Amino acid sequence: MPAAQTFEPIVTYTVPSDTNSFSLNSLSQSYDHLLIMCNIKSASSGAGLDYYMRVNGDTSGNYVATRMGGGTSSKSTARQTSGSSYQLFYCVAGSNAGDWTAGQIWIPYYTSTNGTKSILTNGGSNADAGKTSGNWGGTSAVNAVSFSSDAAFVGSAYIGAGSIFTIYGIKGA
Amino acid sequence: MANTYTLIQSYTLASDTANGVTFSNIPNTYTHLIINMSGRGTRSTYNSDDVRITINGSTGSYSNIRLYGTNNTSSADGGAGSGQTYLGVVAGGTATANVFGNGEWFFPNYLSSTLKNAYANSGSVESSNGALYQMGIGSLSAPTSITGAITSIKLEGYGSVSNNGTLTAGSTIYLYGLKST
Repeated sequence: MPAAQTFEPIVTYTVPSDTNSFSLNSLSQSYDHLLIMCNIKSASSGAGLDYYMRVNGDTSGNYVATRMGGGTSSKSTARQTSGSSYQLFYCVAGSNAGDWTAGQIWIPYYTSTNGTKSILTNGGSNADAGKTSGNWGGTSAVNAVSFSSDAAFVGSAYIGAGSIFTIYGIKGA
Repeated sequence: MANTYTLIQSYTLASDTANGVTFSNIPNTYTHLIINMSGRGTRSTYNSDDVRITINGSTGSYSNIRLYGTNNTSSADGGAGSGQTYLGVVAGGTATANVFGNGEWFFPNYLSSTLKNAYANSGSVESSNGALYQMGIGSLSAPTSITGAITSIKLEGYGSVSNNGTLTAGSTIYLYGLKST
């Protein structure tokens, strides 16, 4: 009998046209952890433009995070202690339209209903690089994630066509 | 069921290796690439050694960002040019014997015909001699002249375009391919 697969793609989404936000819904609940790998194309000049995410469409002040990041000569850390309506994931847009950002987002134990969810992110472009350790305050299982280039999930379409997001499900056993 | 996280190739160095290692003829059957390395360089007077990346053999203009901590001091640097190919750290030549640095290098969407970039998490571990060690993160953008898929990735210790770096015996480097379907 072949060994059970423990690392599987759940969904891959390639952005069809420049957009400000999109959602990936109805995520399988058959795994223990989620790993999102993304490669985001800047649709407009915007060095330092941050990218954001939400869980389960939650727009309340349910997100907190600590981040560190910087550019070629600057560095900073920041702590978002009061609840925010988004989780910043430290993937920062490139310097120019057409530049690319590499990112990884971990959501361990995403189906747990025993507590809140940690969200760990890594990302970098030719303009910036950094990490975020965040937390979503909801206690329900994660079944959807949304991404935007604007904290309010409105505004200009900075996520370029061709950006690719792959969500992998990982089994612990 | 298709395997979606597959070891493509690995190296375990039996002796100090000038020019490091090169993964060549990388298959075009995956979506993303990940390299895991436990490594050590030979750079003298340094307990941590930068890792130099060369994509598709190009000596064109790369751009990089590096954030790192050395004991209690944090730093950031980077820029653009043929020498800006450093991404991640491993243990250096004067680190305690048998100490290796560990890290992960992530190359998303490596088959894309547009600009390639990479991200790394890495660090050279603390040991008993109290010397300086580093951990850091960073990103690297490949030269715009690379318009096809990534077909080769070279990793080596600190060096320059004309002075290649070494990875020492015992360094292990694994290249994985990840599928998206």
